[in-house]
Amino acid sequence: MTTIPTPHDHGHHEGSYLTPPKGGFFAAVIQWATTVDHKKLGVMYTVAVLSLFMVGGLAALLVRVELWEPTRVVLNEAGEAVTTGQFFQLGKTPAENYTWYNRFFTIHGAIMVFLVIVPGVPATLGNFLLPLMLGAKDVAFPRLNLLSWYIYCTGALFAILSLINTGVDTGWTFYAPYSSSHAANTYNNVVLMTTAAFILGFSSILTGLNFIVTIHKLRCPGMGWFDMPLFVWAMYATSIIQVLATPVIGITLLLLIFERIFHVGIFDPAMGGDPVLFQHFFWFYSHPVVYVMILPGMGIASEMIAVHARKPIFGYRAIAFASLGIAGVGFLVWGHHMFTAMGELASTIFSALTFFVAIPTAVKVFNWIATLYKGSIAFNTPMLYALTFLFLFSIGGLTGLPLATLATDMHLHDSYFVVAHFHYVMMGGTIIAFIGGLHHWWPKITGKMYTEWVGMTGCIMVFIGFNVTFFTQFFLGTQGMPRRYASYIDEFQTLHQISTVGSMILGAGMFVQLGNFLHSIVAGKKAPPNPWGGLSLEWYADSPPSEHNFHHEPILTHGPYDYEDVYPPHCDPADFPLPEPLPAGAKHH
Amino acid sequence: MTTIDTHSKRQPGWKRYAFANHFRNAEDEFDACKLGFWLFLATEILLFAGLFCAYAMYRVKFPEAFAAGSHHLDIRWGGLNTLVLLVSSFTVAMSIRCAQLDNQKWLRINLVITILCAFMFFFIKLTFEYIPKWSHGIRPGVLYSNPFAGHPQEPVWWSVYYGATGIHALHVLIGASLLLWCLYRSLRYKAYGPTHYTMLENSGLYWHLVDVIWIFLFPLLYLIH
Amino acid sequence: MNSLPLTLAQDAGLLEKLFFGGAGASPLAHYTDQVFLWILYFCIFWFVLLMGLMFYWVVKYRRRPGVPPQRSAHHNTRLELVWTIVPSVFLGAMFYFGFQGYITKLVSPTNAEVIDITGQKWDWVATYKNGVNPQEKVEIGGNTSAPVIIVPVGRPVQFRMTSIDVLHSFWIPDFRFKFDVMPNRYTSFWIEAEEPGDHWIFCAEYCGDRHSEMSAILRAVPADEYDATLARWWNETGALTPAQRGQRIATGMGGCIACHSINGSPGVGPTWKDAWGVEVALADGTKIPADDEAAWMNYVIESIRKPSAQIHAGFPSPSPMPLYNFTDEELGYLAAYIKSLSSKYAAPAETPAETPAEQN
Repeated sequence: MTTIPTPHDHGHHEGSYLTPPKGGFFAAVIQWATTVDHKKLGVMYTVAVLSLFMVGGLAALLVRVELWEPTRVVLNEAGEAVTTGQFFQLGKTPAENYTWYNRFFTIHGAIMVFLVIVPGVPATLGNFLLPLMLGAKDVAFPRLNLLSWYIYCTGALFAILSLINTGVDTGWTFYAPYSSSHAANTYNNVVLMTTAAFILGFSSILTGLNFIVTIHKLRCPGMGWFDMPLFVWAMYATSIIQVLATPVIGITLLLLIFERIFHVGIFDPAMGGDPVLFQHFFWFYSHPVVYVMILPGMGIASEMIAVHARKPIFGYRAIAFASLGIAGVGFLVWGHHMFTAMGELASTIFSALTFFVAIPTAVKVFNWIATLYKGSIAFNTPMLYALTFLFLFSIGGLTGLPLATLATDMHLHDSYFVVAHFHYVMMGGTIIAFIGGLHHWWPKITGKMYTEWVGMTGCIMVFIGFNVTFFTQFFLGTQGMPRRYASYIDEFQTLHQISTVGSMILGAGMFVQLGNFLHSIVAGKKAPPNPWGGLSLEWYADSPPSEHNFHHEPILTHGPYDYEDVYPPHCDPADFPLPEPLPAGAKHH
Repeated sequence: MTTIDTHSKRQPGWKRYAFANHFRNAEDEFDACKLGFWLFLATEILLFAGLFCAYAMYRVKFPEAFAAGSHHLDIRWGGLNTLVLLVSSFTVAMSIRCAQLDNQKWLRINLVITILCAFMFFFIKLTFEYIPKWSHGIRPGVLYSNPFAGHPQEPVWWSVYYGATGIHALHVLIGASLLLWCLYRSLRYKAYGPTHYTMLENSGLYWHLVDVIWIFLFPLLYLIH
Repeated sequence: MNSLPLTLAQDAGLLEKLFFGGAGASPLAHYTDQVFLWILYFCIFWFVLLMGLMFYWVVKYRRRPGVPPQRSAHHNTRLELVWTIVPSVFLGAMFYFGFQGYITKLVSPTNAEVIDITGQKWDWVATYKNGVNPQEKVEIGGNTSAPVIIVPVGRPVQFRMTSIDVLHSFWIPDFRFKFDVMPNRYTSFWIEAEEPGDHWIFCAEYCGDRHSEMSAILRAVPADEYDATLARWWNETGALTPAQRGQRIATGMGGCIACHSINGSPGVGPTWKDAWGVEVALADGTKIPADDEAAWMNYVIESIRKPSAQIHAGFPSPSPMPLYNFTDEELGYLAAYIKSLSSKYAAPAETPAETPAEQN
């Protein structure tokens, strides 16, 4: 059926990419630190991103703990006024304690956006899988890939420095003029943090550029554009946005740094500048980047659903074009972050355009669910994550509608409703897909299996914890709770406490997953090359793949989702039976 | 192209060059590098697009401040610098042409002229524009201390001026460093010839970009009064 | 209001109570609730449909050993067109109703009563049509006090808003509307209260330390009571001395006393206690002479307008003080207030403090 060579076709064996070099520990460190192998870089990025995810997650839990009780001044037994309900007691006065709360939500936002979600999937799974899925030996510019890794590390270092140096209290959006002239005692920190984001932008640009060229130039023989797995299509759309949008945030942050240091007056209204211009610049990047965050998640979901349901993706081309459509329209809707700051005409236009971006997103969800029809659906951790993704992302997408509608957005803007909405999209969408994808490709990356029941338990805990945390916040938002509040009026306390309890369940679920991964590395069973019966090219490689991915250059003879016609490689055909072949001459559809 | 003699040291560098082994052949590698570099140039243009947007916004908002500020710029120095950059763009294109014709001598001469032009541009900018203005207190934002501002918002114009030309000057330096590196490799290895001149061509493209951006900056800054 | 296409319910239904905690406080707020609920029904329909199909198929087509997947279409153009176009029509309707509600709430009737709102870290100051800004506060929840902004029931009220420092956002949840408040620019929207009662106002744009305490009470009062209150405030505040007016700016919307102490204790900026008329050494070596009234007036006013122009020796340069857009009148009041804090000049400052009582 297939002429793609598999590792067992021939005798010689070269080591996997994880085989340590001769010369002991230091040789291994040097090998990893100077590697241009996309797989090693992908693994290093994964470790970095997951560590930072943990830091950002802990900051989020601390923020939730602060919100357990509102801050109140009460009289104690001696008749003195004392402040109660503040968890952050790091400052000398209640107002300084508030500053610490502000720093923690900024840490959470900045780390999660700039260091975790934006580079998250492309730099980790994208780096590891893109060449494998294309049947290539590496990305187009391996040394550039190593450079972007070190740029990423430098950016992370700057961010961490600013955090150690008491942190930034501007929120991750750095809105001027607060960030440029008012932020509390953070003269150097705002500069450090924005420099970090500026540097990370370069890493993002170089990765995107590398991926675009790789996809154009390094597809294996026989692979046309529409034979690429949808994950690759998602990466392609993502990379286009990264390359085209990131320079604008670069110049914006640069101007903000000038503003902060020299007070040049470009954004500061006190000197004739325009703070709304900052918002336009900022969101011209940061809105397309929302799609940098979600498109890779969509790509992972497409892969997981197709493999575990053993069905060709319904409407492959529709999904591929929807990715590009989202990337394109995504550039035109940044203004919907500023409905409460712009004139009527601009708001109206941006509201209309925003509804356009809802359509390709909805089309994708319909296609994924239609893919399940008449499949052979396995019930395992990656599939459970894929279903969780569909559930949470649908809520995230649908709650975007009242935010795109002008009349309702004027109420919901900057409230907890928005907070809940973007967590459903960013975390329920991207992070859930990312963790699901890690489970899905874990055997391929590490050569080890994880414990299935622990993975399922973790997923269910995350699902419950997530919904308890964030569904509650929809009600908080509609009832009038603004975001970025360290304290609140008494009416909101019950809902806040439910949300905090949920966040603890969510955090515990994450630690279950982490423990499962660590256990698998130490004591996991050896993974077969193709545990799920996948058909795309990464499943033809060894687990873990050899140094140069494939022993021969593969030649593609079937599509990535021909589950109805092709036996998966390295698998017992009896485990993956095929339906009756179509009569000769009959076409699909 | 795949029959490269990688052993003989006497061969010039461009003949010894072997393509990276994850490409199928040298043409693929050349195309990939060029595509990658064009994408990079696109990001550079977008970076400056942000500056041009800021320029447009504030020019609409404070037209008098822009006219007053632009009045301080000497069109002769700006024009001379434009000429310098145009000449350098021509010579860098010629050096690529020489590489394609394997004319190593003129390749180097052209590169040297280009690099000299780059430093001349920088020298003129610094000596005749930045330093005198700065010492007269004509500075961006709150640093502005010239007592004869033509308009209350003139410091904003100077912020835009210093921001745009400063970032452009940084690009001139980066481009000059790239070309210096090419010159070094040409002198040392004869690295560029008819079948391999990727680095030289991409550095040349970068230099053209620097030139094109100046072509936009010059009228926007010098010719508006 | 007749242009709004949806029927307006006066009583909150179950879902409205669940989401908003009660009915909105104006016809336009009811309209917003209706649009929201209508979108909610649309969302629930699609969510139930999609998740129902998903769970049904996941169970029905679960993997069984030896059973292959069944063949089915890989795409279906007609179906895909239907599920693209049908929701799009609904999205178009959402946009239309959303636009109607938005534009009606933003563009106020010409007969609306204007109340000027000034946002500042971390307070809201209302200035009414007769020019009074009483800065009256009420205790809320026993901890902090919140300013009270009164509006008349049954009369359209337009808020004309600006900020003196950073971005804020003026949100009245019960009226389902907010708009950003920006420095150097005015923004506005309007409301009309249906019933007397108190409503929360929150700042919805992050503005620093005490962002979460930047709330206020919007008190809707009967129209005659509103007019009477404005008249009473006018009587109380119309007769203040310049120094007292300066004090209101310094402690209220100016927020000066956050950095400049009035009791002699050190702060970010120089203290004002006993400062006026005492010789001051500047960072550049020059001196402001003692008891030179004109020199002091110039020094103080220039320092407010251009904080970095004359740096008091021992204080940071450039000055971290934000720029304020005070009018010439306000600058005069501030100077009078600073002067009144100087014990040398104490006697003249004390006499007028009693005048409001005499004039009432």
